[in-house]
Amino acid sequence: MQVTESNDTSESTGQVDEIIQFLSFAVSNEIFGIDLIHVHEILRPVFITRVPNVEVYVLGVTNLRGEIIPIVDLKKKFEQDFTEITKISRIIVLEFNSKRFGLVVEEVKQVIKIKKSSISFINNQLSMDFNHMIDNVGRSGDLIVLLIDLNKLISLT
Amino acid sequence: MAGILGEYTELFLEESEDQIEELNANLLKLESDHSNPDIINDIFRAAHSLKSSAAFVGLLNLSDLAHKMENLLQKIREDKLSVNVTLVNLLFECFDLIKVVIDAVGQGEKLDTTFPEMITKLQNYEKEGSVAGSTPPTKSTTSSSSPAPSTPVATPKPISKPVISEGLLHLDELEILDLDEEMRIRNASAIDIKVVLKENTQMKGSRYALMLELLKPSGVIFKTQPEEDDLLKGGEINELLLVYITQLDEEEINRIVHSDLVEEIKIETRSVSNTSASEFIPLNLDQDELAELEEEFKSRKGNVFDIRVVLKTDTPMKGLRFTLILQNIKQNSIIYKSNPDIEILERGTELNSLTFILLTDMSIEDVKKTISVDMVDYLNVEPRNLVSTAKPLSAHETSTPAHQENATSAKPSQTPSAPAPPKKEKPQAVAADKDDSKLTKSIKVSSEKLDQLMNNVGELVITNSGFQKIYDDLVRTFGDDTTLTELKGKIDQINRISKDLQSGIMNTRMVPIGSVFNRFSRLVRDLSMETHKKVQLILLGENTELDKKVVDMIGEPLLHLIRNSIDHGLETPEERAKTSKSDMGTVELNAYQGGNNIMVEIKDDGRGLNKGRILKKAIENGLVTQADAQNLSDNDIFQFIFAAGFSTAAEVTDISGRGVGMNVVNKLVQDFKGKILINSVEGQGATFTLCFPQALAIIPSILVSMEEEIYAFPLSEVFETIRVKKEQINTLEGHEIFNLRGEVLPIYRLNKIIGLSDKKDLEEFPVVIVNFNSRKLGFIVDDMIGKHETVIKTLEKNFRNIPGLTGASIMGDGTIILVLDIPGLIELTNVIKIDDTLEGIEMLRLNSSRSSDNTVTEKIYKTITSTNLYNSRLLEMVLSDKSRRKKDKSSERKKPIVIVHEKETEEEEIQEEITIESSIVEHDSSDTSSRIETEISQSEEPIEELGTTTMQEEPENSSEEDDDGRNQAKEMLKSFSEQTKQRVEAMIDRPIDQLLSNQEIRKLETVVNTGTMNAGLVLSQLVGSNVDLFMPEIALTDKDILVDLIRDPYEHFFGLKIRMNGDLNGNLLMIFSEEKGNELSNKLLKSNENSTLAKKLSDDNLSVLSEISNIVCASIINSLSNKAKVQIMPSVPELVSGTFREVLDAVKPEKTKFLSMNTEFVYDGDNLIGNLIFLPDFDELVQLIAKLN
Repeated sequence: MQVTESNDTSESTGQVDEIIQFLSFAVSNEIFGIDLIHVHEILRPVFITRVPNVEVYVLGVTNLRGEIIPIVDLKKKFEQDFTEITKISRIIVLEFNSKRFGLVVEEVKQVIKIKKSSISFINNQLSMDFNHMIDNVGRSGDLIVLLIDLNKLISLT
Repeated sequence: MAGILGEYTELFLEESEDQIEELNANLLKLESDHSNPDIINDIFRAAHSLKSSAAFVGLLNLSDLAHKMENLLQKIREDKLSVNVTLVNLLFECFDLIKVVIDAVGQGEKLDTTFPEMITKLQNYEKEGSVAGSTPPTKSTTSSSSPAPSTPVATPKPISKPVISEGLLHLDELEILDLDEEMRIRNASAIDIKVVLKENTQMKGSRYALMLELLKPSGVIFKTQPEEDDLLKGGEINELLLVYITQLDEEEINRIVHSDLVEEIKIETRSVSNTSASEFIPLNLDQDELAELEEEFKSRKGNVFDIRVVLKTDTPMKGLRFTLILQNIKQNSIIYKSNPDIEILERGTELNSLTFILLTDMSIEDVKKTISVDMVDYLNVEPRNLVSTAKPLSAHETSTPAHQENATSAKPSQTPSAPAPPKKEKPQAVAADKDDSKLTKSIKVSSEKLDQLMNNVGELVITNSGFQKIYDDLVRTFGDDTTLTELKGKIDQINRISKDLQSGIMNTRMVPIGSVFNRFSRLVRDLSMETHKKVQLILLGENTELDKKVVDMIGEPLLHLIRNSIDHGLETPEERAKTSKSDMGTVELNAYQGGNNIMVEIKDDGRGLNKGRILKKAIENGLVTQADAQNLSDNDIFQFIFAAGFSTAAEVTDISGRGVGMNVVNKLVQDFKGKILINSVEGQGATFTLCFPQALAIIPSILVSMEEEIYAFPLSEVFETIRVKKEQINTLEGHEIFNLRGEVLPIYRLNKIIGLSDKKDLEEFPVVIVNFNSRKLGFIVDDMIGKHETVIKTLEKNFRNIPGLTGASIMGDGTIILVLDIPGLIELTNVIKIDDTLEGIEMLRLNSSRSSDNTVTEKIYKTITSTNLYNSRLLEMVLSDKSRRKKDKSSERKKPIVIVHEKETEEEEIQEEITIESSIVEHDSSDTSSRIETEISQSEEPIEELGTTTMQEEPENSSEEDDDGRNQAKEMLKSFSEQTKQRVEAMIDRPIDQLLSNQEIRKLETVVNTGTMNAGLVLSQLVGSNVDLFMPEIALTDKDILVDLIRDPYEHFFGLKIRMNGDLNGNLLMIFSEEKGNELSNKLLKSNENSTLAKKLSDDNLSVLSEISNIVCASIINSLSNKAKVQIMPSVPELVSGTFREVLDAVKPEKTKFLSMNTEFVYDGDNLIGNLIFLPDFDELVQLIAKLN
């Protein structure tokens, strides 16, 4: 009989640890993650049509193959400055509750897999700026990713 | 998707809602026409249907109630009960209760309460005959006039009590009735069971309960003694008696129930005799089936019979027998529907009765003969009355009696028509027949599917307009062409078809408003009773169709308005008499189409709106000041009634007066972009007209641009567009107004409302004048673009509704335009905090790529908004990418090194040059002059400053030198080389940003482009047909690179050299390969000579080419001098020929960099390329460029 040594606590407790995939991206030098299931596509920055009298972080709407979707500057939404548009800026198109919208981010990193057990709930002590949209923090290796709760993100739109 | 009641919820809702409406409508009819058997039958049928559907979905108590109602109705049918107001009210009460349950189901709630009170009331009424005392006279009149049941009139046989034998368990009359019902529904027998358990059995109660459970799957426990609930309560239970309805036989039951503990079992089937006399209820058909049947009937003629065949109980193979019977009759008839279905019959059944509908030419007698085969116990053949019972009445007057007496005396014995032959034609019906069009087959389609279709068609229309634009571009590029004309034809065709498609699909969503109107008959009746006023309701235009959404919504506003009319508008009969009006007040509902709108009107002939009181109340409530009140029009005053909480009612009644209704009405109407118009004459009445735009998905609109943002005004709202001068605008109490041909209108600045900064110092601006609530107002915009048809997409799908916007629309080229909502905009002007601090700066124009003229990225004044900054930055990035890519394209192997703002590359370049500079270059040219030239050019400056013109002028002289000259030249050259060396050193230190920048090259390009275009024009004139010259791509190359481009080093070239003198000195060299040159000149000469093989060009060709070069160079020089306002004179062109290298050397570019421009000649579909080398003195060039602003 073999004794398998493993660092993975989940195995030893006999539980199946769910792995969730997140798309990680950078905004103001922090790494954030959104559940990949909600990511519809990633675009290079496109021209945006302004919509009058909306919140300052809503840049406007754009035509995505016939569908009109709003674009939000995530950095501004986090109550900071506007995102600097560079060659690596991207717009992440998300789909949530059958609504599609885009987020402007500084850089899209990669898809990371995080074990559910590595996701922990945070309290106010972490990142004061974004805490009203971040509930969880995930760890993938050495990387700490702030996981965005889309419910909160949408409700504030 | 299963609803609250399971998978049939949706179906139940639809059917039962219809049935309740029908019941209500029919009962009303019955009230005015007491003895019409058809109406009674219809009511009965509906109630029966309701009962079974309720049972089917598990609403057993509702089913029960319906059943009790049925009993009452049955009595009416039998003339045992008279129709009077009390009864009618009772029934209405009943209907309302049923409606409550149905509505609850609609809301997702299963309301299965019992109705003990109602049921008691019903039962009491049944027993006592009437609650308030019936009027015998009525009874006699109705009974005398109702015809005896004879076959011509389609009344089923009067009911006689089903004779069910007594069983072990006693059942009372009602229970027997129910039992009979159950038996018939399930086509099963009633079996009495008695079970006695052994004395010492433990827990008898539970065991009995268990037995019942075992029986339940195969039948219905009709009644038990003791009651089921009591069984589990404990206590000594000696025996269990039950009546069980099942298709199982006694053997099987015995097996189920028997166990060791059973002492005694008695099983007895109740026999039901006289089934022949039991009520024959024909098959019930739903709307669609009925309609189908009528279609069939109409096309085939003949008769429709309801037939019931009952076989003797002990007949073997009943199923087979029935099948045979049906087969026999099918020979020359059609069996429309049967219960049980034919498939079941073929499989075999134990049921002994079959009901079906037959469409046949045969007479009743023949039918009976065919069916009466052996073993048939009973046969019932009834002609069916094909009347569209489900439809409510059309244009009719429902008089509602104010007093009871009128009901009976008003309608003396209304004898139904004498035996009308029902078989051949449709029997007469009291209910006015609907148009045949209403009976067309219909199919239920989910409105989601229709919405999706609408969406797709909208997209189609947008894409089509895209085609149109592409066509326009093609025409501009290629001119007229038969193929293009064909294309246009097809585009127009598709446009037409898609527009048709769109209106067709829109039509599918239209439903007639009649369904809503008819609900109000009941309301009017009730209200008139409550208010003790006589009211008659007139319905017009029920066929007018509106979008389903509107029809669904419009019920509520109409309800409020009718309530208002009756409660406040109409006077009591006494008051009316005083003003010499008839004592019966009229409320009229009308629907019609008016232009692009649908109007729904509620008109009453009451006392009208009291302007004075409204105004007074408005001032009281602070809605307007006393002063302003003077300026209000009648309509304005009337509009106050829509304000929340507004009411002039002296007292609040149950019905109205709280001031809520009108507000709700207004809001609902506005939600659908409709408006309410009020007309009233005091003392005569009031008319409220709800006006809705026909829900068009394609809205024609006027497009305006605000700082490159495009907005659309719906054309239906736009009254006019004009240009207004600054002086014409005045200010009155802080608001801007202006005078339009005598009319004073308020004027708003659209930029303020949408958050853009003001444009200062404008003398004149375009203004869009719109209609709003029958007033006009103007909006100042930046630019008017024109008319456009848009398909509006809602913003709510992915975002939310924005105040001031109806939605957005996508144009043919993909840009998004925002569609304005006028009322929303007005509201915004009152609400919004106008930001005066908005500023703007010059930003790059986004649409430059689209303008057909100059492609210079002009700047435009734009407000500083996050979006504008974003777009601007994005554009910068895109352009710089584009230009870099364009530069990369121009060479195959080595890329000509281009000056860009990349500091690294420039440094590299300088290094390169310095090394070249210092090396001694070997020449391949044997020409001594060229050697000198080489020396000179060796010391020419590196790329930072390209060769000086003075230097190049020298070689001219030296080439003609004689010996003396040579010495002189040597001297001069030496000094020159010293000078240049110094300059070179100076050059190296020159900071990089003084090099020819991207921008400068850009500018140069533009200017040169103008030149080439002009050249093209001239050439075209010369040649007599279109010659286009395209903008040279200016690149910095050096000789080697250019030479490398030429594949064949021995290929013959020639060039035209033109010198420039004046403020800019230098050379222009136009090089053509022989091949190309021949081609070009031949083309232009339209010569057929195939002189491409000739090495030497013909004189003609040469002159053509030199002419071309002349023109091109001259044009460019001209352009330069004009733009920079300097003087440059071209010299006479000089022809040089040889290999490429040789030709190039004519202008001595050597190893330094120079500007090379590739010019494309486009002629007759061919593109021919010539190369123009531009070698000005670069110092001078830089200066000149600076002047090019």
